Amino acid sequence: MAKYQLNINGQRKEVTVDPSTPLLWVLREDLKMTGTKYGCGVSACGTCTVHVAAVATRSCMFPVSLIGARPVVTIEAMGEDPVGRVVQDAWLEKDVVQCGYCQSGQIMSAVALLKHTPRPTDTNIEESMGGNICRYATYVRIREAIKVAAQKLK
Amino acid sequence: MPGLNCASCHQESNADSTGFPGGHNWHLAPLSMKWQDLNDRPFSSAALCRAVTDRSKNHNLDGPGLLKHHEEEPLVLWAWNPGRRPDGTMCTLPPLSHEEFVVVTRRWVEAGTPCPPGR
Repeated sequence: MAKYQLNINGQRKEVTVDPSTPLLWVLREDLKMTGTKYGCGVSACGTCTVHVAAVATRSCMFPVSLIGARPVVTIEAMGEDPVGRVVQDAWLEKDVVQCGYCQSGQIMSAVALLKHTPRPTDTNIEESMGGNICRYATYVRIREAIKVAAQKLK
Repeated sequence: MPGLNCASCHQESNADSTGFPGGHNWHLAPLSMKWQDLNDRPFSSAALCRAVTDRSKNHNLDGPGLLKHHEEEPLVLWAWNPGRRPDGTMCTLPPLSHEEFVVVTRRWVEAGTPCPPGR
């Protein structure tokens, strides 16, 4: 076990965990931040996406020991994030969600896309969101919502 | 791609507890440096050699540049420190040491980077 000082959503958090513990389980089990979901556990579905130093990152395969001083941002902070708020509103406007399980990861990837590419093309969206899988195939509505958000962020 | 970077999974070092390889500036080689055809068949030695030595495809590296690449590039060096697989077993190392690799590369460069005949 080792002690880690983490910057989660702008707040300093201290956890004592095994260095091999994936960030996902630190968030969910130690910090009780359950907005980030477990999907495949092998970094293949995107459900567990968070931002680490502004990079969309799969938290299920990311050992806490490799975070260092980099800030972590999770879905819980998106309501207060200027881009995240607009994306969440667009999600509601387009009624994107089916079961919703994958959507926190979808939104984290969408926000990362829009922060980097404010006016994404269809190709930008498909390539950037291609690692986020939805069992209910909400992909068309996700693309529409990202376009709505991009318009509102102009 | 902002939502799906190499760094979405690959960190600055190997993540041995999860089996995810990592290293500084982890990335795929560009398509110009591909070592297999569109059907995923590996190039022949002759075709691979031609691809590696073609300065229009290899970031304009001449023989000494290729030698330096083999000697120092972190992603080349990673091959000798590949970490563990997801099941915890060690990844396989190349059949020769890095020192031996550099020696044979230097010998090849000094010979003018010859390629074997054939397709």
